[in-house]
Amino acid sequence: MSKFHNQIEKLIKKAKRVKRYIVNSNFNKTTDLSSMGEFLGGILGPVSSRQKFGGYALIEWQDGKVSKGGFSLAFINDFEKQLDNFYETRYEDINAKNFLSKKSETFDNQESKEIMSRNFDPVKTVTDQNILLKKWMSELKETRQYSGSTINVSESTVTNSNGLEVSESKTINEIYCYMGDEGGIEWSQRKPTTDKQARKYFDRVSLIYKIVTRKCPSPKLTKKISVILDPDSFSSIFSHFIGFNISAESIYKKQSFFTLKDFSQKKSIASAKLDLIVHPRKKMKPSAGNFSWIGWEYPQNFSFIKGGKLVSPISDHRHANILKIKPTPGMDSLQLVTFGDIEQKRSLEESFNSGDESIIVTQLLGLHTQDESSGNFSLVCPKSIYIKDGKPQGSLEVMIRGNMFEIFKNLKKIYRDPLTELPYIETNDIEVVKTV
Amino acid sequence: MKREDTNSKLVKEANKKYPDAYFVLRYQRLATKSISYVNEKLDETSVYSDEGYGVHAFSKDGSMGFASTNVLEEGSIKQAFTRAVESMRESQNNNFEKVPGIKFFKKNIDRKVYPDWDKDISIKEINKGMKILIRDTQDLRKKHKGLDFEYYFGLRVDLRQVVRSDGTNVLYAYPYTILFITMTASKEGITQSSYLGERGKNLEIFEGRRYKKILKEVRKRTEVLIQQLDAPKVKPGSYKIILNDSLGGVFIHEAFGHCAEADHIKVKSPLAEKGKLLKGKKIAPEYIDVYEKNIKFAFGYTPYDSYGEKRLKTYIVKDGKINDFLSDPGNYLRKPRGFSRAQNYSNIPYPRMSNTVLSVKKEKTFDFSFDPVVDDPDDIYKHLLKKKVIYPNEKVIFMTTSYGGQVSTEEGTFQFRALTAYEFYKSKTKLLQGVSFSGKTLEVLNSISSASRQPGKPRHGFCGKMGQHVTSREEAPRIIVLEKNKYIKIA
Repeated sequence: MSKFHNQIEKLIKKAKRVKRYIVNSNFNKTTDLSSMGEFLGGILGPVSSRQKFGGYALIEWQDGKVSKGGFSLAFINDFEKQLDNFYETRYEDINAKNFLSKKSETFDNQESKEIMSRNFDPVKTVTDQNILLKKWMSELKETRQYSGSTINVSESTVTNSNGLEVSESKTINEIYCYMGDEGGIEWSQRKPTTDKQARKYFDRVSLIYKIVTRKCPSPKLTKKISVILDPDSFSSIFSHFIGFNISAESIYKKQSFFTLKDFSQKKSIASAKLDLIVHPRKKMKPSAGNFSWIGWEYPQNFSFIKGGKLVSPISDHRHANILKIKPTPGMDSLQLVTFGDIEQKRSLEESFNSGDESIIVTQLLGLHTQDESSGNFSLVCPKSIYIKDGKPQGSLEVMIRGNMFEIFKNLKKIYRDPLTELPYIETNDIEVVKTV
Repeated sequence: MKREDTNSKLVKEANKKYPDAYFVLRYQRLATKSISYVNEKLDETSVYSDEGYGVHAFSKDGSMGFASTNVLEEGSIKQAFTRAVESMRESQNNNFEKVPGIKFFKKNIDRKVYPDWDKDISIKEINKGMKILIRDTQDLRKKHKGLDFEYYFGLRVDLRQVVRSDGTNVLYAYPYTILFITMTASKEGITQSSYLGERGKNLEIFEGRRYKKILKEVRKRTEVLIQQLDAPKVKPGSYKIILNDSLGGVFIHEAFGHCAEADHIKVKSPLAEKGKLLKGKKIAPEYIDVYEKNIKFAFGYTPYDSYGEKRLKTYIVKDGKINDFLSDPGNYLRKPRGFSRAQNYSNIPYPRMSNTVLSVKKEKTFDFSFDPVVDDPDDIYKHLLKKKVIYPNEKVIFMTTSYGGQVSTEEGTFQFRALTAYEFYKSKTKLLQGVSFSGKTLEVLNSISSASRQPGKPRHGFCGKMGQHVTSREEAPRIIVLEKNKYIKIA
């Protein structure tokens, strides 16, 4: 637990009018280096070092009302005024039910310990990683280069007035390289990336780059063409439509396509082979965590869809209390999600060389502008890969149109890409239109 | 003593310790307060505050290091200077990229502070306004089954200061408020949403004519949203198009403005070739100008950029020809024009827009006193026919109410969404479901055939780039007419 967390908790504990509290803090120390090459200048980096402390507090006052707010260390320096601000914004809320009982647990990240014990130098690590990435990128003779690496060491703590205290630490190393708009992905893990892993990652980036920089002679697209949403596109489109609509908050606000009744009646929305299970504590995954912001320890896994039927919305404690349902872990990354028996292992490289005529979407423009609740989308995909005769023919700009709920209902092909460990899909329910 | 009054001392001390470094210290203090309702029920209130420093250290050859902290202990702030210098040396040793433009930095001393910028508005006062708004709109729910509202009001006060080794000390501070209303309508398995966003300085959103206008717009949008549940989808294709001010604004920002930012110019942009601006190249009709201009204390106002350089009015397109770009010190060896912006103290600045204007010269304008969102589209159609801006036998798509967009700057390809669209054809008006509008940036500029003489309502938003979100504002005529073009598609 950081000394700042302690200081804030002590101040809140002593403050007048406070009945109960939860303090959730995060102390991040980040070192990053981005070699901009001649791509996207700005003047990011070269070497940056940041430290940031912040978090949330939930306070229940003597009158039974609660306040929730974010804080930084400015909170300590100007405590009276900040606490008055909290007090002023108090209201009656079901969050008052969320003060969990006493528990003490520290989830230490083994990798972090190991790294620290051998005098790990983050500046040297990010510098070496960047030099290596730049060397490989220069082989492609592309001036629009952008690469970088980041080491983030963070410590999260939740304490409350009932004596609950849980904390965890994480170390994440992320590397990334892009050549212009094409073929960029990010790779991160909870230990320093080895040169061998970095090369494997770079080979993927380089392969996509080589394909998408080759313009495809304008093909006549058949109506039956299948569409593959690559891991990045699928993650984005899935969160935007499915993630949004099965969240308890959207259901409560009636912004969702689904109602609570759809869950209690176990409405069928996908193939009977499809499950949607989150594994929030999956080992070594950067987005994994052990507890929620109020200190609730996550279960090892949780199902939102079973046999194609809705089982539970994604819900934090507050919305679970409002809707009178069970709280669940969140679904921050599809790396932590499995899709049951429908899922098959297949690398993106295999899809590049599949026998069918297909379009692989690698970039979506304007997804955030699409109406989540209708499920309808109509998006431009500037760097799509056209596959024919079992090989990639080059890149095409297309527009894709469809309805995500319809796609999900008929979905039969969900692949897991071993490199990114992310799922991606193939479907015949997306209409493809060439833009010009 | 306030921190902003002691920051020059911090820089002076750092320069004594590290005489080989040139420092740019960025200090920021901000506080936010928000409240949201779901229909008539108060959903959440929240407060947030942060305060911190970002330190850039430059060597004489332009190598750079950066560190930031929000741990406001003296030792930690001093340590941030040390970390920035260490990073700078690491950059120098490895011969990493340089920042050539700092040699043109010129000393600036200025303070631009909005009166009572940090005056606290109590949640009670905000709540009073919110309750009136809710009272005045909830009858719509009674009238339309399956209609739901979410109301959000946020207040933010933000102070930014830049202090440099050359004695520069600039500071600006102002408040802004945001009102955001989400309307969701459902019917027999179809759900659709619409939105309304308003910006202000304080509670004026809830007062007088401004408030009445908001109310009128909420009612109109709701009515349209309900009708849209039964509306047909547009047939994909190319059409003659009429954009209202919000879509004109989002176009000039997203599709065009980003292509003029120095980092894109250097790499790949339709406005440049091999990193060199195609100055003088005709890319639009001669009656089109596009420029960046600061409006004092308006949303997105940045009198000085994140390096402390003054933001200068800059014509990107003048008389239809490429004129200039939005430069920053990182990309070109030329005098910066103050376009570097960072979301907050811990971010590295990038060349960004703040207030972008699309202007159509008088000779190509026509009279149009309607409100494109609120007024009857039949009346608007008749007026445009009368003005011979459009003709009865051409199919025209009239789009209002932007919901943002995105652009691929390298290719100049963009994608926007209009929440409301109408088809004008053979003297009949047909409401459509929301449409996507996509195409090639320069083709849109070239397709502008005329525009309203009346200016539009400025569009306010948050622009995202490289993971950072900054405030932005755009101005465009109230409506713009685009001729049919095969490179511009509606779907």
